[in-house]
Amino acid sequence: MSDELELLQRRFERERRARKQAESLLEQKSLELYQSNEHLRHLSDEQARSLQMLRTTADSLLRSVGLEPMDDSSGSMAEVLRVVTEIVKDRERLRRDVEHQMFALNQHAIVSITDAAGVITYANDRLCEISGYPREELLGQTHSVLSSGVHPAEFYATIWNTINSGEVWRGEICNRAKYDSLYWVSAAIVPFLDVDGTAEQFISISTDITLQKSMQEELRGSRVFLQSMTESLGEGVYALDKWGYCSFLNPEAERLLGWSLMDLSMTPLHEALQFTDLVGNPMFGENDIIEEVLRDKREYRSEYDTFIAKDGHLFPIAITLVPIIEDEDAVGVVAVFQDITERKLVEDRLREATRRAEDASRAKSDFLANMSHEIRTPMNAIIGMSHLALQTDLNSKQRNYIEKVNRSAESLLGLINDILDFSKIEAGKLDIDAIGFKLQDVINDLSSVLGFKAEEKGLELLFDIAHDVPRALIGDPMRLNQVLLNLCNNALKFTSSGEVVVSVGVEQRRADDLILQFSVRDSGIGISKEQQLKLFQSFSQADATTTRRYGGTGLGLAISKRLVEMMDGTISVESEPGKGSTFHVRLPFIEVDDQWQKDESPTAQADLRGMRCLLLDDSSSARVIFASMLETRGVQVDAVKDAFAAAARLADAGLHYDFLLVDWRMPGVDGVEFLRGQHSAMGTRLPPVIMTTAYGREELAESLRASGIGVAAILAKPVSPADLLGAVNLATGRGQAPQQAGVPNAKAAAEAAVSSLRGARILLVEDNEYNHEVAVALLTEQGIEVVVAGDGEQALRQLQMHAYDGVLMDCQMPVMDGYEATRRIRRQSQLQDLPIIAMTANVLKDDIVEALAAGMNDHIAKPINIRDMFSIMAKWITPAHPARDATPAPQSPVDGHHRAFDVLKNIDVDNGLRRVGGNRATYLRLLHKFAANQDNAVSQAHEALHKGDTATARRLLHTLKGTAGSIGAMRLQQLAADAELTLQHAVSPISVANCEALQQELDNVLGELAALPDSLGDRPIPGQTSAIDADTLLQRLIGQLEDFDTSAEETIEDLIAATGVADQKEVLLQVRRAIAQYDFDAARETITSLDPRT
Amino acid sequence: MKGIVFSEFNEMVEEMYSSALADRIITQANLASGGAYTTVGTYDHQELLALVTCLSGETGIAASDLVRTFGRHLAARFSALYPAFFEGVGGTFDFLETIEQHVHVEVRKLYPDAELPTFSTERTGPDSMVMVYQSRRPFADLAEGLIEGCASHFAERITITRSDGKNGELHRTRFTLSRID
Repeated sequence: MSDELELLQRRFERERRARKQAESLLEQKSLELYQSNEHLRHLSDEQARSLQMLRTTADSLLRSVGLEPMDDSSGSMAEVLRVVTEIVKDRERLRRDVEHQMFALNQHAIVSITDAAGVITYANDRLCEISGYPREELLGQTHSVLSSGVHPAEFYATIWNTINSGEVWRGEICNRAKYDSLYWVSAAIVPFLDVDGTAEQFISISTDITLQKSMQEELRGSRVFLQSMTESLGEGVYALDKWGYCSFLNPEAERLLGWSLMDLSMTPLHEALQFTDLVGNPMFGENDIIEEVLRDKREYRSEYDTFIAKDGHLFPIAITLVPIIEDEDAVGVVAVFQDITERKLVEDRLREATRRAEDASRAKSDFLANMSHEIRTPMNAIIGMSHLALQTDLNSKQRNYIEKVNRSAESLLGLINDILDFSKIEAGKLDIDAIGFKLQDVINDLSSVLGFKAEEKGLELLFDIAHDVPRALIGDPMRLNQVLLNLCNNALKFTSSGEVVVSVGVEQRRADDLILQFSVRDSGIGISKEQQLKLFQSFSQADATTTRRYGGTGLGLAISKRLVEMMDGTISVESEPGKGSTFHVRLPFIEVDDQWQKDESPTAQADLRGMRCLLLDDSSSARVIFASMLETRGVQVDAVKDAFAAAARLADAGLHYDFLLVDWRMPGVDGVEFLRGQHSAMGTRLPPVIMTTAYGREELAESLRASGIGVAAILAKPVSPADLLGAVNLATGRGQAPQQAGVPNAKAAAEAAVSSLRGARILLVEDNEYNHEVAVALLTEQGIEVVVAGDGEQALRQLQMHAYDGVLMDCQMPVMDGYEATRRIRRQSQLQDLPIIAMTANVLKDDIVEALAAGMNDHIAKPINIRDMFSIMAKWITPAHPARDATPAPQSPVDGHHRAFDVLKNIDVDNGLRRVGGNRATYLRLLHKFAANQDNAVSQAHEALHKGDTATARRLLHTLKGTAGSIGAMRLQQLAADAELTLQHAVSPISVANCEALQQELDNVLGELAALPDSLGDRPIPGQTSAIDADTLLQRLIGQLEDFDTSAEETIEDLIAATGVADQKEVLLQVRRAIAQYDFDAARETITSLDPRT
Repeated sequence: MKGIVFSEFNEMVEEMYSSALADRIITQANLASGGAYTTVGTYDHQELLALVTCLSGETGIAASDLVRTFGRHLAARFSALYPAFFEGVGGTFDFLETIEQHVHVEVRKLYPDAELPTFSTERTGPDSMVMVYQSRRPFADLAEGLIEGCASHFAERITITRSDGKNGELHRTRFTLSRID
């Protein structure tokens, strides 16, 4: 047990010890725990304090940013932290915003900050830039460094006061930059106040408005200008916005419209004005014209619209609307308008007046055209017929009457032409051409027309063209011709002896423009000063007696004057009574490169220097002219005025002449006589001779031939320098015969034309009986075959059936006129080249144009000028079967000679036949006619001479000469010519011997003619190609006799040929004889006995 | 080592053998503490080893077996003293997983200076687990015993295989456990 007790004791001890340990540990632990708690509590307190502080701060922060403070319950740190973080972030954002704003501000604004005293503490880059000062020069300064002096001191004082009182100052300031340039800014100066309201800083934010300022000035200036302009404009101006409401109205617009700008605030303007167009369409409301203007950006202009003013009255306007474009958008319109009531009235009146004037003018034209045609048609008949009549054999009384008729008709025609021309000029219907022409052509024309007249009166006609006058010009040759012709005609009319000289010279020249002076000088009766004054007035001749003595309308000069003026020229006269007159015409022309200028051939350029010429011409002017032509070439000229002086010179051994220039017609000894004398005197020593004549080379040539004299060259006047030089060259052996382009002797030319037409087959389209008869006669006489068609339709039919060489087409015809007929003809391909020549009384340029347009080749004016007709026809028509050569035309196989003609020994039958195109029947007829009419010619002439009537005698001989020539009685012709010539000169009375010889020859011829049969029994004479029987012929003949129709001549031949019955034939022969003598009454009486109806 | 280990050891010795034996080994061990242990105190673990050695000498049972047995005993004692730990867990494996994360955490709350071994667990299957014991003290046997004790508590039959090793200075033992049925 004691073990157990010991055990227990030990155990207990151990337990006690353990317990004590535990207790000690426990105390220790408690202390630790206490300390731990204390610490914790301390920490907790601190935490609480921190938290509280944080919350307070957070609250105040929240309050400061306008938020509610946190409620106490949510006192957690996290919440606070969250809020604070929010706030900090917010502040961050704000700061960034401010930074951005500052940046933006600095980009644009000029910013400076000053302290309370105004000293600059901050200057942004823009400020430095614009002021030109670097930052260091600005900081520490006040803004007075930028003072410009523009503003008064009060200005700055005001600023200072404003900002100092805590208010923002706004305004515009002009500053001066460092290098003295000025600039304008728009500034806001903002004071920053501290807590007690005093300004502690000023910030100035401004923008540069220098540009705006200057633009403003400009704008103000232009606005003022615009204002004054729109106010002083005499027209209404308004502006509309794009909805049509008025935004501007100038005073004139207000006045015209009655509205003022205020009235129009509620209504679009065009509606208020009831803007309407010409036909009544509204241009307002939905149809407002400004829609178009704005949309298309195009202006609208009109003079036909209307407005209604405020008071209700309607008035017409002229208006222009233009869109206002800004940046390619149409933002409105501006309109300018005028009240044109007045103007419209005037316009209407004007239109009315114009219409009436035009009507009047047209009436005048129509009248002229009609008159022209109406008058010319019968004139044609009269002139033609009388001409034809004169070609036949007439007794002297008849001839006298008919000649008078013809002359009267010619002068009537002249009068009519003058009047018509004058009317045309007065009516302004005359056109002046500007075409290229050769001056020489005009001269030639003048010469050929005037030559005969001059020859008849025994006057010399000379042309003196200065060598510097260009050959080719641009102008109106027809009118020039007309004027010169008028002046020359007057000169010839009023001159009884002497000469008429036409000279042309260059008065002025500048580059291609020149002024030529034409002078017509005569040695006539002259014009007194008083008369000169009245000269160019219409209808006045020098005095009333002049008219009576000289005839004429007195219109000629008036027309010439008008024409000259229309050609921009002047006409004037120099004259002394008794001493002749000179008319000067100055006209402008343009020189042309003369492409068809014939070069002066090398031979012509040949050097004539040193040659000596003897010039014989009775006309002093001619001497001067020729001499100057030769002297410019270096030829020495001795000029003498009569044969005796010339002979003396030639006889002078000391004088040697290289050639002679001798005129033919001279008083006393004429050129031919002179030469005859010299020829016998000098023989071969006689220098080469060039003869000049105003009267046709053939006559001179014949005369020379008759005298047995040869000359080197014959020149027909007017002689051009080239012609002369060519002749000189030829005469002096230097060149070939001159191609004298000179005057184609009119007669020769005409004869050439006619002979080229012989045998041609022509279709004459003419409805007027008289006209057609004239034409047919003229043509058939010359051996031209004529078929007549009465209108265009017939013409077409004819052309389709037969071949023709050409067509003469009258223009005015019923059913189908000439133009239409021509057009239809031309549509047929085979007829496109057929020559068609218009015959028309209308020669206004328009008619010619119409003719050409219809397809005609040319035109012949009516009344017909025979020479012109043939030459125009010859120009276009070539006979398919010319009768010139021996080959006859198919339908009349004429071999010319007939044994019946063998009896005609004194007659050159071939020659005669040739003249009638080989037509035997015609020839026979002519022979008979000659026999009938000319049997008494010589004795009648003789009688006349005895009575002292040289003129009649001459005429008879002239006729005899002509008719003898036309039947081929050459010798008779020559004798008659000689006799006539002798009479012309009246140097010595016709010798009896001459007369006897002539009579003898005539008798011979007549005798032979008497042996001719009445007819050859050939086929019918061409001219009437339709086959007809005797009865028809008879009836036709009777009709023709009743009408005094000369084609009765043909008909009677046909009838004779168609009749076999002997005693009928006898009657017919009688009739024929009567017809040949133009005794139509007798013929008719005789023929009626044959008429079965009587 | 916390006093509770010592006191439970002594009580186990008294229960299994006798107080006299208990007394005898205490005397034999010649302990610095004199054998007076309070549960909340901290004592050198060598004293335990000394006691175990003496007991082994007295009983003739291998020390390791004795320690294993002690482990089993301790587990039962823990389940009685601290029942909360053993509630709410599905079985041995579940409980073993809570030792490191839960049990020892609670222990430290009361005995901040306790030196405790670390137990890492890994389930290798629905009925198997690996548990790694690491400690500065060489008490793997005790751990094994504890595991067995737990299994008994949860009425599960668990087989234990073990491999011992060292991890630096630490004793490391890898227990592979498999549950049967």
